[in-house]
Amino acid sequence: MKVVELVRKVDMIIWDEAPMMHRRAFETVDRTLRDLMQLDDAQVTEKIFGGKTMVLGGGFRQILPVVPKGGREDIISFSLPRSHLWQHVTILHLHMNMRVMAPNSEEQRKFAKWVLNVGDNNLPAIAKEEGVDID
Amino acid sequence: MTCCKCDDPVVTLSEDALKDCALYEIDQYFIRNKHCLEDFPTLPKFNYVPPVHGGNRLVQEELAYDQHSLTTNANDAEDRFNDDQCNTYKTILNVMTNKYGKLFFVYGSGGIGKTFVWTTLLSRLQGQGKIVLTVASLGIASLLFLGDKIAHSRFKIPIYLHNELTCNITQ
Repeated sequence: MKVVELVRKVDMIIWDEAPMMHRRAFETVDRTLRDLMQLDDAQVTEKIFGGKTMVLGGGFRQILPVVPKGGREDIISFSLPRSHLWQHVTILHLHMNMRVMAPNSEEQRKFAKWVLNVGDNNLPAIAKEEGVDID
Repeated sequence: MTCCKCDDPVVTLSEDALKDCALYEIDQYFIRNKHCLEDFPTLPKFNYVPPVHGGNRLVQEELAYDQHSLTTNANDAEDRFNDDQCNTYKTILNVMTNKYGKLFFVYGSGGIGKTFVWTTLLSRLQGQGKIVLTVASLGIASLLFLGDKIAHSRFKIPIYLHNELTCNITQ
């Protein structure tokens, strides 16, 4: 009862680290919000997230949803961009890395570059052998 | 007196406010029995206006922020935005003021200042008395904002998901 009132009164929802969530979690919240908001306005079932402003955030170079015993195809098919909601999304890009702009952040800069390279698949994948660490 | 709903540790009330609150509750019992507190001149009077949200603690918590200091925070933070952050922030705020719902995805890798944009959005909107919920997909990210929760807990999303589910929020 209490959560219903709160959810109906909400003006905006910010959802951090969204790409690591199963797409069905968003679809579930979407259905729930449409269902709850139609108490005020019957037309609202047509609108995504019941007409609420939803701000998702995160980076796709990070962890994707965990699918137990799932292969590459399963993981991709359950990630957020494969959801029917994704066609309604407005993507806002942030480019400038503020963490490496700070003075004396040489280490940070190296690390940020390395992480980007891992994400872009520019670094060779090396299988870990017993007792030998990955470079 | 035990019927008073004010024993919540989050909501702090002064002695007098607590007394008013309790008297209001007693009055409600009288009203249910076709009387009111004023019918009994020996009983104390109260100055209590019940909150508009029907005493919903969750809604009250979300509206209990210090609007003045939040607005000051937002003003400070807006000055420190870079161009990207400023555009993102303005686009989202614009949708909020025009009151049409929209789905945004803010794309950026670590250290790019997403959280900074969000704390500013939060301060600005909560400073205007709007309700903004912040949720995160994992525990560590949920520690970044005040009042943040994990999405599963806030919306009661079921653990095992299939196509036709809705959240366990009952009306």
